Amino acid sequence: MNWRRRAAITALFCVGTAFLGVTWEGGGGRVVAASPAQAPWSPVLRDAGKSAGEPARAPAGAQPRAPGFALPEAGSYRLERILRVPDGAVLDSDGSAHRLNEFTTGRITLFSFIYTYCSDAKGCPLAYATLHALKDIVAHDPALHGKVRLVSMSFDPATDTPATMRTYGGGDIDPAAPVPWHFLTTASAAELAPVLAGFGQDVAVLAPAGASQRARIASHLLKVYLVDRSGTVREIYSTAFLHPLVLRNDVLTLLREQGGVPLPHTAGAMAGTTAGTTAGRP
Amino acid sequence: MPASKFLIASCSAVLLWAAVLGPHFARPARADETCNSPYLSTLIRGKEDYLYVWTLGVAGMGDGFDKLVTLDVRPGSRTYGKVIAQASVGERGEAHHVGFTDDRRFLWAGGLDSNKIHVFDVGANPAHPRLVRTITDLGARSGLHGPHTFYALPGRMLIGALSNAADGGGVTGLALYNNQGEYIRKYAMPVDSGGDGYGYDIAINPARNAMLTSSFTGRKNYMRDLGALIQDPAAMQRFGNTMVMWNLKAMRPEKVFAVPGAPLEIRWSLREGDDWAITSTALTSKLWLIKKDAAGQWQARPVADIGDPAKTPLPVDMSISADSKGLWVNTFMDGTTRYFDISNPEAPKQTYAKKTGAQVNMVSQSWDGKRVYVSSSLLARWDKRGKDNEQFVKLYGWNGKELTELFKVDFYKLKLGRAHHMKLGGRGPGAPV
Repeated sequence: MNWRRRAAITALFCVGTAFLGVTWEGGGGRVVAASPAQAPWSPVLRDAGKSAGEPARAPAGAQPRAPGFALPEAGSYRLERILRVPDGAVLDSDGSAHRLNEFTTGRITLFSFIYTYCSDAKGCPLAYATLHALKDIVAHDPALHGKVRLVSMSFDPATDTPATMRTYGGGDIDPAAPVPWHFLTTASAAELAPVLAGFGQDVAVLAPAGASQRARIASHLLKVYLVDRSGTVREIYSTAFLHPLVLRNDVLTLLREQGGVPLPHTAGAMAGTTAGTTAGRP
Repeated sequence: MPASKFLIASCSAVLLWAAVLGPHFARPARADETCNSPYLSTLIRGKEDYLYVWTLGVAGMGDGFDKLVTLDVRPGSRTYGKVIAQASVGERGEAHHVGFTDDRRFLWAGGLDSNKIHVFDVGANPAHPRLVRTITDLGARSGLHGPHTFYALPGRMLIGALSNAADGGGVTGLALYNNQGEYIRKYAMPVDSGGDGYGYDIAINPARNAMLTSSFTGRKNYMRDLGALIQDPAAMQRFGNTMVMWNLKAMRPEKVFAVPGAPLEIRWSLREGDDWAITSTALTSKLWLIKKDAAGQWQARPVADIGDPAKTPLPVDMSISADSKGLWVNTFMDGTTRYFDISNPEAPKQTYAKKTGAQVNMVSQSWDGKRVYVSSSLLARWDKRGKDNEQFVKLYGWNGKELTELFKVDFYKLKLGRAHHMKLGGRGPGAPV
């Protein structure tokens, strides 16, 4: 297990304990109230960080339960049209040049900004772990295959070159996966700036300590954007709501709205799903 | 090492690591307070540098317009306790409340009469906020009037209005805008299942998917002379008597609580693991607790009097301490700042009181609880007359036993206007740190 996955699992565990109402008792070091192993969505937690190609680990028919409160049923609520995703020039992890809207239209997209050296437990590792858990949920539901993509885009093009993003993405970069995950960057800060502004993504930059150093990211307010197939942001998750089951419900809600997907989500129930536009990349 | 032990050990290590390195990460500003939206998710729990005061213009005083006034509150600064900036909006529209966007870069400020929302950039230069946008479509798009509460959500602002554009009554709702100032949606306050449709504050507990709203009164009342209003029994009936628990994710009202007497400000406990909120009723002068009962159902019930309710001290603003064991409550009519011990929220006890002015309205405390800011104005036509119409911001030091005045800024002497809502500011996001 590499450091990134270990940190991601740890971050998800920390958040998961909060959602589950788990409390830590000092001294004896006993976890009370609930344990991840007992949690109905523990397969999600346990499997965070594993690649999609591995065998299914969730028990057949397992229905993850809402965290700490009763989530409204998928499809029973409205996701507002918050803003249009900005377009811009981006680089894929193979170095090829694209327009951002190739990665934000045609499928439901979970989009977030990251930087590869981020180590804030409530920042990029948490986003990574949550998205990985969602990826596994979707991977276990064939009816959702081909309908969702993940996109992580760097805040820091000076450090995060396509090659760095390729290394960072590792085995998650698989265009043929049920949930493709794209790791993007830009050629320069000038090309990144309008994208950040368009998303309203806040970031603070550390001044370089010396002439030989370059500016580095100091902090950012973690946001994960849920984008519908037309390229409109429909939800923005901060740490308060960044949970794989919330994401899953929202994805299902969008699918129902956009394609008439019946609920609950079973492969059989979704057999009649209407395919949406096929514009954009996988 | 077994997986569970690894996870626990790792989590503990990360929390320790985060505690040590926390100041260096995810900190978009350097100061904050206890009564902001939780979606300002990286609250800075340090010391504030500036105080922003949304100030009502007074005809014939200075430019006569509403303005955002900035005070320097950095001890040791040569301008400590002084006004260092003013940003006028060029009109008088009953300035009232303000709220930060989630990234803390912008401060949205409402005009209860003008129905306009003024957006100030406080991120580019926190010492000199700049008016960058005025949103004028609230009435046309939502039918609402009187933008009051500005509550940050990720990438957007939820606005609690007091009234409606059709009849100026108290039936109102919430309006959602994105941070770019584009209108998204209106959510009506419920008028069925016991709801009276009135609105005032918003307070969210994300961990429970819970949003609470409270209720006040409409434009016909809040823009009326207070003396005449009190003499009008029919008008006095037109105040909110409810709170509403919403399903936040679905933005649906789920339960209406009967809370007589205009419940105003709402504060969720900030203590980890707590699931209760507290409010005060203006006309009946009580603290109410909103908490789940043994059956897991949210309930509201009165838990303490504020002063002598028979004398209508009119509790207005309140400020909860970071550990949620203490609550400052200002009562307007007797100009008193009161401290309640709410260690047991089921039975709050007033343990301290000080007369801080002839009239006092808003109260904000620093994150460390050592500084308490008090301002004077309630509404232009509800403020007292004559010599009691003091208009100021005062800073008090709090040592746990006594409030000690550290400075006073006389807003009339400086020809600024009526001092209303205050927000703490820090040297800002985006700057090299």
